Amino acid sequence: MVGVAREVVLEKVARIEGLLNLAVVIKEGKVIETRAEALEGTRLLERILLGRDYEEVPDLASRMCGVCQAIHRVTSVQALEEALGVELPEQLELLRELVAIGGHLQSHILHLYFFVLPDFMGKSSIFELLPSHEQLIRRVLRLKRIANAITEIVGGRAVHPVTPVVGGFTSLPSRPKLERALSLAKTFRDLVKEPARLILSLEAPEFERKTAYVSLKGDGGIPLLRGPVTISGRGEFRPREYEKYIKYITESYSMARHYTLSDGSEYMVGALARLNNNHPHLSDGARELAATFDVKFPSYSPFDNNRAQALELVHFAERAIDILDTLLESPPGRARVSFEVRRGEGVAVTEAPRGLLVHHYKLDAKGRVTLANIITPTAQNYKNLEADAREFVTALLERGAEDLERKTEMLIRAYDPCVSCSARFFREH
Amino acid sequence: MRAMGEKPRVGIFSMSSCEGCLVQVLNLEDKILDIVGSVELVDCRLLGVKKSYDELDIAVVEGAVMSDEEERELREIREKSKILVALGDCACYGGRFLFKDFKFEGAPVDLPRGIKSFRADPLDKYVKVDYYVYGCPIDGSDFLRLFKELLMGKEYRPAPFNVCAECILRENECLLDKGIPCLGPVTRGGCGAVCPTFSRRCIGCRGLAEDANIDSLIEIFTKRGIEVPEYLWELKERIGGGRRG
Repeated sequence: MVGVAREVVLEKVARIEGLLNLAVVIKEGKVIETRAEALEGTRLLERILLGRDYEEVPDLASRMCGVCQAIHRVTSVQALEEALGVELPEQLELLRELVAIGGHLQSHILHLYFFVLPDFMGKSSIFELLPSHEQLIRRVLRLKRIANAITEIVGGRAVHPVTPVVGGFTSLPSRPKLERALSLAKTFRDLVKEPARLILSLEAPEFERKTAYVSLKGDGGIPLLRGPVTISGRGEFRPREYEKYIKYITESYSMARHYTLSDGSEYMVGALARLNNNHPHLSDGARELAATFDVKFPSYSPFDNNRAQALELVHFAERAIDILDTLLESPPGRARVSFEVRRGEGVAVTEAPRGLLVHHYKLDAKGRVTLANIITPTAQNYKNLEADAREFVTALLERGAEDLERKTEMLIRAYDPCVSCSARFFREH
Repeated sequence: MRAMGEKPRVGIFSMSSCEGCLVQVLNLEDKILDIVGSVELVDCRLLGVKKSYDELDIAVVEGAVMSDEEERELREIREKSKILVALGDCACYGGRFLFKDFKFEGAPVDLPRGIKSFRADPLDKYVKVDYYVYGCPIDGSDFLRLFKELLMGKEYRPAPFNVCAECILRENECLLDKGIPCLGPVTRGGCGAVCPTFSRRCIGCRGLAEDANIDSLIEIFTKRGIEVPEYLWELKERIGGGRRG
């Protein structure tokens, strides 16, 4: 077959959120092209938001994604608050972080145990693991329930929470509810260690490719809601400046926008990027676990995104405990601060479970949306996934690997893609 | 259903959506193990299940139809299935009650791959739907009830009452009394009145209750000095009430 290109298409990859094909074009034993093709219908959410009252935005923005809806809601609220000049007291900010953490924990559990683990056990679904690993599966289902319960206590509902609104919350959890959340967070921390160890002990395919890692960066902890954005090895930017640093390209083969840095190079967002940039601030329990399994950051293996998520399960459980301790010591006073509707513009950049998330809105004097732009983590990762797949599959071909498709699917899954959030084509200009 | 002793074959499918309804199913936690134990799940991409089969006893479909390919896939699913269930508002209504009608004439939308127009259609625009599970997202308990009833060979019926019914049972203070434009009186219940319970107005996500009286709600708003919100006029217009009067 010398000189003839052949194309391998991994169709509608299973166990990821949404529909994605990965096309790999091979010529003379080398991969010459890869295409991450988002197949989901374009849901045009930004267009739907135009003309809407600012109060309606968080309900709609949360419908971007059924897995990471909590952070979409919180991020949209934050961006609108910036547009309206609203500043929250510390306690309400902490409650928002708690909503985000509940979302992160349940999303990581879903990804690591429902989607990733079956690959490593030679199975195609979590249910096939039932006969041999019933205890483990019952435990991760329980962990998922606990994470959801934390979101519910603060957010009112686990999927598409209802309480976070511009200016604060519609209602605050009572003291007994916060105590309950604290005990749940402690149970989560204790129960998650063993399943986290399991993920850390898995032997992933060997592969490294250094890229730019983009995430929020803070002075302490792993920031989820505030802070400057860091591009590893290149410096920082403020949320408001995002358009100068990341830009989109339209690929004819994909229903999603793809993003690059301003110089056209690809970059990675997600748990691995967060830990590559913030690893000195891992919580004690997470750091201990990383040391036990000799996990080192920065890591240039995309497969380590799974390990980074496992460490985050412990880290964010411990962070939730700290937050709840603080809130029980000095409870929030008012649920909502007052503000006036006015013309304005706001950008919020946060960390969704799958990485950097941008919400950007302009409001007119009546508080109606005149511009909406949302950049999801998966859309930002496509170019990096394509570049990784190019090198990874070439290396597999050189080694004569037999299960090329399965291993390539494992690479895709390590990114934890969320295709339905990413598939939105709308151009304001 | 299958012969005695044989488990009914079930497939779970997604059209375009946020997949939040399916996430709600996964959020049933260990109760899904009971369902999985009582049926044979033969097709579910999200969970990596893909067995070969000729026909399904129950097909559960979430999401709205947004492309020709999805339309084709939906028709294929219908042909193979004895019972087809629309899961969530996108499948039941095309998501209209939350997202309203999509009117994008002249909108600068740049669509890839030769797609000419935008649509978000409910499943029953193309195929017969046997059961509707409403909600954005669905409530897990409705999904459990659906399976219990279907497995017993019974009919599944969505909640016949409005949001107020459950709100009153929870002894919530009425938001209308506080001057908040809550859509509870005209909205299909079954959600446990989650929004009003957390002091949020009902946004009507489950669609209109069977006996919804929009005129009466507009009257209530007016009497209490609540400005009638634009979406209520839109709702009235959609069900054919004529605008403002």
